[in-house]
Amino acid sequence: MSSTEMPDHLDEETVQRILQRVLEAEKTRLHMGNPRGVNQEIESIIRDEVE
Amino acid sequence: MELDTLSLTNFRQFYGDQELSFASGGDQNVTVVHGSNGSGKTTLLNAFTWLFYETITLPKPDHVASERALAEVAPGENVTVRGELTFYHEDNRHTFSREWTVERDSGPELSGTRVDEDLTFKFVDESGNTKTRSNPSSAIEEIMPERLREIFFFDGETIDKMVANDQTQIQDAIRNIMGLRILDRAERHLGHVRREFDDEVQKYGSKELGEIVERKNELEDEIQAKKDEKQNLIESRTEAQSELDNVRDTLSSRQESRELEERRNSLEDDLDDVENDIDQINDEIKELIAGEGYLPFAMPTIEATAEMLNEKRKKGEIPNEIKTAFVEDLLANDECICGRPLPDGSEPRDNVAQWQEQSGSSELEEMAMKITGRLTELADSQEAFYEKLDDYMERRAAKSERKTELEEKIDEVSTRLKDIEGEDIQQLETRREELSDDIESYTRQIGAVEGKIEELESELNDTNRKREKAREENEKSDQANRRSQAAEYVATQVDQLYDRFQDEVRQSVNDRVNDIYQDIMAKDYFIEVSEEYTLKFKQRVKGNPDQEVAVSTGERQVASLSFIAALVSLARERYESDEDLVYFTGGIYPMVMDSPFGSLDPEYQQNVSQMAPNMAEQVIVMLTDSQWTDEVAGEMGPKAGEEYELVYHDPSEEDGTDFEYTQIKPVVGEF
Repeated sequence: MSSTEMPDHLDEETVQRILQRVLEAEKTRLHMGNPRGVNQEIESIIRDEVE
Repeated sequence: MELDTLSLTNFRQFYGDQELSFASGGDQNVTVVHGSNGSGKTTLLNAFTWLFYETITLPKPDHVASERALAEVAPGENVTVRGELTFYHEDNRHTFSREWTVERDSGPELSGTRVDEDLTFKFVDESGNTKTRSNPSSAIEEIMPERLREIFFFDGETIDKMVANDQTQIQDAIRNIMGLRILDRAERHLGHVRREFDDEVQKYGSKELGEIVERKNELEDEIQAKKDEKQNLIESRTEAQSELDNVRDTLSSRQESRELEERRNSLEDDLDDVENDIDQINDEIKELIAGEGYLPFAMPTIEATAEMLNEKRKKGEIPNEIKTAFVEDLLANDECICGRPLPDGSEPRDNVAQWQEQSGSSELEEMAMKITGRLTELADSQEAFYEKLDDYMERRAAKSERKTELEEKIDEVSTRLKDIEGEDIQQLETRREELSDDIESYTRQIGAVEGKIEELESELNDTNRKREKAREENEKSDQANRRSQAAEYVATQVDQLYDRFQDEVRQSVNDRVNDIYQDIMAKDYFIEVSEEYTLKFKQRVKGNPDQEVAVSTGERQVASLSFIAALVSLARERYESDEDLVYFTGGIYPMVMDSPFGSLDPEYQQNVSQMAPNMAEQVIVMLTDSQWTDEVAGEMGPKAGEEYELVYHDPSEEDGTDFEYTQIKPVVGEF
């Protein structure tokens, strides 16, 4: 599997949900030059969505 | 962002407290500021950039405090320099202010040193409460990024350079103004998070998987480093090319060198054509060899086979009266053709079995016939192959000879240029050679780096495949592996989204730029925003591919203006659209233009004036008095919600002051 193929353990719905949550997290910090906490938030999103 | 008011205190030649209000929205969305040359228009533009980014592009950039204000205090005493802008952003009123305390220096020159500064950024929220941003520099950077300063604060004298070779600025403009920055960041941050999960894989997983993951990360770092190196080389090459173009333009413009330079241009065009022809011939040779190159190698074997078959024919082994299959059938049926039984071990059976040694294979006979037939054909093909190859070689040799001749002639031109009296021509020619060598070197280096990147990416693909195959019994490591893969996959989706939207935007910008450009210039040229984000000028030629054309400085200025206006209008449309896209929100931006007419003829000045009010929600234009003609005022005046005159006070012409200063005076409009 290359990085352009969906991993077997994921489905389209989960991927879209992760994507939207990540983009929302980024949007709330767009005004910051160095967006603190965004990496932790994204990590937390993935832990939540991927068992 | 919708500008409301700008207040200045003792900023450069704007002595004391001065203020402007900006028109916005509706039919009168233009603010006009006009004044004589030297009255402070460019200084006013710099007031914005100093306020936002502490950047001044004027001579003596550290001389921020008004000389008149400094003269009014004693050495060691302070002058306050202040700028404050109120504006609306996402329905909230914001106030951004920068204040310097400048202590007058002792010494003969009137100057000051900054001893204190204060930067504040406040806004009024939906409930009417005033709040303060504790990160004013970052916050303003998000609303008005500094690297787009030249887009929002438009200097008409130099904006033509945007469409010359600077694709970075255009690409940056599109990315930032059209709201794609979120995607850019998301991809980057997902990469960081993936590495975190990779660390977990290594921590909990087997040594083998840990090593694979480690190697994957190393390869990714190496690839990124190589890509950065490639980008730096490309930028260096672009810079060198730009300088080379300038040197060549100079050589073409100088009387002493013009003829030789033009001759060289012509020779180099011919050389390009010859090199293309040689490449073409090489491609054709490759194709020929790929298709028919087997012939010279196969012929000896084919001929030997034909010889062998001929021998068999002479001996009567081909065609043979008895076929192998026939004998095999008799033995299988245990019965001879005459009906006699052929049991195992019997003499009759042994006699029939002996016929197998004499019998001929029918496949062999068929093949023999085919080979014999083909042999003549193949011999002809081989001959034709050699003929074609000889022809190509001959043509290539002739082209190579021509190439050498041209290279020698070009070298001759270079030598003659260096012999021209006048040190500067010699220096220019020497510099041209250096730059040409540099460009060649960069191109080679770029090729080498690209090769290395390909190699590393191939190894990365292999490593990814190994990782997929590795199975972990440790659940924690496996889980981390799944999360790492998820982060990587989502990052890939973000990257694809980015490319797709960037391309859609590029196409939209392309269409909108041309709408605006054609309205102003009314020429049959059109602008193309290429995939590399350069703006190219082209002309349609019936029955032929579109041709690139050379344009004047004025035309490039209009193109840059059209490009900025296109971005601003697209960003506004997106912002006002009902589509709820997290990452592609657009925005409202003003256009602040100093000398937008630049080098334009009066006819085009009028066209720009007519178009300007429609270019953005809010347009601020700074003009000289001579540009504020009846025609321009006729177009822009009725749309001007605010008009100001910069009144310059010259100390040599006025009593009562030893220092120049400018007053901003509102003009009560005749419109």
